[in-house]
Amino acid sequence: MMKLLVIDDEESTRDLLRITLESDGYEVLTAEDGPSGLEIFTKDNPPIVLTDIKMPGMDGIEVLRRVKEHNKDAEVIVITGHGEMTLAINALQLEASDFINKPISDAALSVALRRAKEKIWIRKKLEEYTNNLEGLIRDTTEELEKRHELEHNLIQTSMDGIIANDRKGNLIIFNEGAERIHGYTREEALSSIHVTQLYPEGVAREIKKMIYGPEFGGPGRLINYETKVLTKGGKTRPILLSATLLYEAGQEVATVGYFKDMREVKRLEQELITRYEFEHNLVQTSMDGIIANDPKGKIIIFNEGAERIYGYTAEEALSGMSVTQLYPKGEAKRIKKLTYSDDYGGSGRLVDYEAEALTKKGELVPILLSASLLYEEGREVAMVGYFKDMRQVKRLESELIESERMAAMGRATAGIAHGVKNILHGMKLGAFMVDKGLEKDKADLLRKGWNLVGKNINRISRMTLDMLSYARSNPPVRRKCSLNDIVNEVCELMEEKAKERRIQLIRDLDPSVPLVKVDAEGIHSCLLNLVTNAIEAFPETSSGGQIAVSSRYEAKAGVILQVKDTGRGMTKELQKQVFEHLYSTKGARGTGLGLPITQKIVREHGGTIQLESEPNKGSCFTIRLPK
Amino acid sequence: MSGKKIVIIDDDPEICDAMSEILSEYDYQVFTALETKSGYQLLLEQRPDLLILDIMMASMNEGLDFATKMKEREGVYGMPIMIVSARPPSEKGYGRTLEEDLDWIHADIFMEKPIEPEELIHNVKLLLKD
Repeated sequence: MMKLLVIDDEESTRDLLRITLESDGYEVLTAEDGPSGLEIFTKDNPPIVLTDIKMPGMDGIEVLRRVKEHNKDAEVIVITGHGEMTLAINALQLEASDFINKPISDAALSVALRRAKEKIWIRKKLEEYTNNLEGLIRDTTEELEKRHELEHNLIQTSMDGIIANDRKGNLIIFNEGAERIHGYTREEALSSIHVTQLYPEGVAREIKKMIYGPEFGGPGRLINYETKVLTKGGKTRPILLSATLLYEAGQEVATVGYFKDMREVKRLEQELITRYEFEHNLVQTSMDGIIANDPKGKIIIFNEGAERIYGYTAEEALSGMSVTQLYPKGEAKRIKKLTYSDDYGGSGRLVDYEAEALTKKGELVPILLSASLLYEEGREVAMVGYFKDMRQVKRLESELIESERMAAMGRATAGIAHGVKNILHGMKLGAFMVDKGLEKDKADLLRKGWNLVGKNINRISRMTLDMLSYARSNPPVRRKCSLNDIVNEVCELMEEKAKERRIQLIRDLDPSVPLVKVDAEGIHSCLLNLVTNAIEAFPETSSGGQIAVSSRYEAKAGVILQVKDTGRGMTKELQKQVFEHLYSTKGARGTGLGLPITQKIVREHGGTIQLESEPNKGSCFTIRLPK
Repeated sequence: MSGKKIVIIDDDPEICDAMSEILSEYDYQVFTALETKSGYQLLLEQRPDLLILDIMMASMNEGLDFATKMKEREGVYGMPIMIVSARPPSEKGYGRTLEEDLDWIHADIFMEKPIEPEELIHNVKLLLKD
């Protein structure tokens, strides 16, 4: 609600105005003279004041002056009596907004008030507009400055050279990049260099033609045009130029050129080439074969190592050969499947997989293969395989085995020599007893001596057989047979000897033991060795003991044969020696070859032999044979 | 008949028997043991005039250690020890040579198998001063 101040000395006029104006929706303040009116004005600051001109004391003109003094935007409407036109004009000169005559008509009053309100509204709008405009200008200026700075910086600090020239060829922009390329400072360039001086002779004209011509990006533009610039020092430098014409109001005003220093590009290019060559060489000269194929199986990399393994040249392999041709039938498919599976080194990888390569000549070469899938942006693009030629490894392996065998033979020879000496010792003593028996005619001594000789003859023949068996390197002949039958044979053979020493020989056979492909003779001698050892694990004066020979079948482990005795057992030290050294614990009775032979035969069957023993409690040998 | 006592420790019962038979022919009283534990008992019981020891028993060290121990213990009354072995003194590969061993074993006589029985008799007689 708009406030209105009415100042009039006549109470009737005040009342009339208040009633009228209040009914029109104004909040009406009243005062009966100038001073009290001004007091209210300064306190309540009404935008519109109605004042009588003729008042005792302070008149309306003075009120107007003081109001305007206080607030020049306040609208003052003066109320004049008849014939007070001079005062009214005076009031208008003092920026009264209007005057109305007494007696006050409603129409005159509302017109005056409307005008006053309009003036207030216009002034307010004008003020708002002015304020907005200032803000707008301020924002715009800041933005422009920022933009200019940014563009300036962009231009100045661009790695590329940026040069602009006007239509006459005078340079107007020359950035740091251009300084680097051309060798001029910006000041030099802008003050004294013509655009044609930046190029070898004729090149600037050529470039201009190119910009206007349709090639390299269309008329008015030039994109990635390889050319040369001329430096301050008179040298030419390769650059890559893009240029565009600038227009203002439809008029061509300038040409801007962007220069890429090709030395850098060339250097990067060279670096890339070097790097590529390096990697290429790495791949090419790797001792391992490296072969890559695309998802369709087409060979895309075939290095020297691969050439060595396969016998194909890289040209042959890369001229459309499929990776499937590098393996025996079905193998490539299998390798692919394994690479995708988790089984060998995780999905997408294959680690140390033993396979065979099919060479150009159709030979099969043992290889150790690792492979990996290559992805580019999530898409499988190739499979790379690394091949180790296992021929060399296999050859070294067999050499190693051979040398180990020779070392073992050396140890065996020492053991054998020891055995032979013991046997000869017995024979000599025996022969001496025979001599003495004959000499003194002692039949008993003669018999004992001869007995000793005979026993030692048996020993040496057994030893010879053992040696042959141990030295044999050709693989055993395997046939399907019943292991339980072999156990039975051995036990029957040894039963008598066990009985002599009062040893119980127990058999515990698992009827579910299947027929197994083995070298029956070999397994027979293994068991015979173990049972013989078990019997000899008891002192000759033994008062009885037990040997249990058992068989067992487990689906996972295969067949398990066990020979367990309750004899004297072995120390930890001895347990190690019985397999590692050809060593006999039996003096002249043993050849020291029994357990090594047993172990050798079991290993040839892909099985294992294990010993558990405790001194004075007994020993237990366990043979595990795969099904 | 000298009746002197000889203890033989050898893990081969047949060799023990044969040595026993042969030495008995020369009127020695022979006692045999198959290992050092019972052999030691025998030494304590019989207090023999000579020990014949095979050092290539179940464990080589068993024989060597035993010989050394006997020498230390029996040194006072000076029982001679004859060592019999299938291993030649020159053979290497067991960490020590026998010459080295002999320094500290102080065996009186070392005989390498196979032994000539005449030589055995000769050496026994020598050690027993017969």
